[in-house]
Amino acid sequence: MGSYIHSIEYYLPTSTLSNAKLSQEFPEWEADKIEEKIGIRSRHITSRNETALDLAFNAANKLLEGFDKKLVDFVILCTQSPDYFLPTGACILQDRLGLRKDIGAFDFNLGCSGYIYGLAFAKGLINSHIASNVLLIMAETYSKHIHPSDKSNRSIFGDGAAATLISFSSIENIHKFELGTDGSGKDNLIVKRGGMRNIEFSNQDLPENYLFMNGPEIFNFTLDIVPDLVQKVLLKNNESLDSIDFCIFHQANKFMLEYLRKKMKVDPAKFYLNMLETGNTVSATIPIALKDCLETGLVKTGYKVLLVGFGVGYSWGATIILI
Amino acid sequence: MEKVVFFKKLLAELELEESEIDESSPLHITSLQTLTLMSFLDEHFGIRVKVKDLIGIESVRKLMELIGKDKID
Repeated sequence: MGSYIHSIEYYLPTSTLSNAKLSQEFPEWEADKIEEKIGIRSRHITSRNETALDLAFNAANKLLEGFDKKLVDFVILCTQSPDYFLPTGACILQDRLGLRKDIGAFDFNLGCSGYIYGLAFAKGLINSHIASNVLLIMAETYSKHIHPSDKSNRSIFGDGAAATLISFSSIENIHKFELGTDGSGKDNLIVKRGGMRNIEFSNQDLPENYLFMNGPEIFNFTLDIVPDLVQKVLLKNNESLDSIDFCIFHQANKFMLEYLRKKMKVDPAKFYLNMLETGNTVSATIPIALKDCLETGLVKTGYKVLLVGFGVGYSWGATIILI
Repeated sequence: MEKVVFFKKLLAELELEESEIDESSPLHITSLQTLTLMSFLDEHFGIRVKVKDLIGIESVRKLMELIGKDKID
């Protein structure tokens, strides 16, 4: 008894923000240098009235074109840009997607590690016979958290959503997980406005109350955590980097991923790096990358793929899936 | 690391405009260069620095002091 990734679809907003456009707004920000450094040329950005839930709906709808929605018996939504404090976005999706009413639904709030945790939830639900077909949706609109004057974060983050169907299988294709948390890093990637702690900030248009990321500290965090995380998940699954066919890490930015890859001595031929036209879509980067890899043939049936997520929280996780 | 090699590597990694540098050269680290410098220090000297450690590093000499004189001949 086990679980497997049945299918993935993703949806990106139609509007885009190019480096050229950013350079027009910020003349000191050279488009070529941004692309070379972070590996991003353009990113998709939601319109004023388009939300993470809309992106989630579109991604899920696309996926359900190829699957009988009556068979979906659990919906999980991962977002840090919810439409409302309440009700839960996944409940709204159940209704908008026309799913059965006798199913479970919940949201969880994680960023770049979210996909790994979502897979862990889905596997647990399936293996405990609570569900057989879990619809896991990652939907993020960080652009709405970023102050217009923040050229650095506007360069890095893009909006997007990805829907994954995880289904019951006679064998286990989603292997063991390694998860981690260190809340002491909370101040290094944070949106202070909008919640209850600093309720007065929501009425102030101060850049510091929007999304704040201490890039160098996040860089240090990844160097501290990721190589060890990879070793632990490989060990737990009796695998090695040599026995893994392909690696998909959270697509944070090119500079960070290249440095991690070199530090861990991962063969570049089996290390995915592509956020050129999407930017960092937070929890959606891994499923978007996995879908692209499946479509382009970089990942094939029978491959063992290492998935690694890390970021805001701090929170991190990794697993190995069999395609 | 030999001084000459250090100067060459620093020049290349930070893509500095000068054709050559030495201890007395000024160093103005932009936000884009910060991560590059951090990875340079980690990769070549095994030093993990925080942003606050780089405040006041306005010359190559200051950077060499941060790295430690024993690590650059």
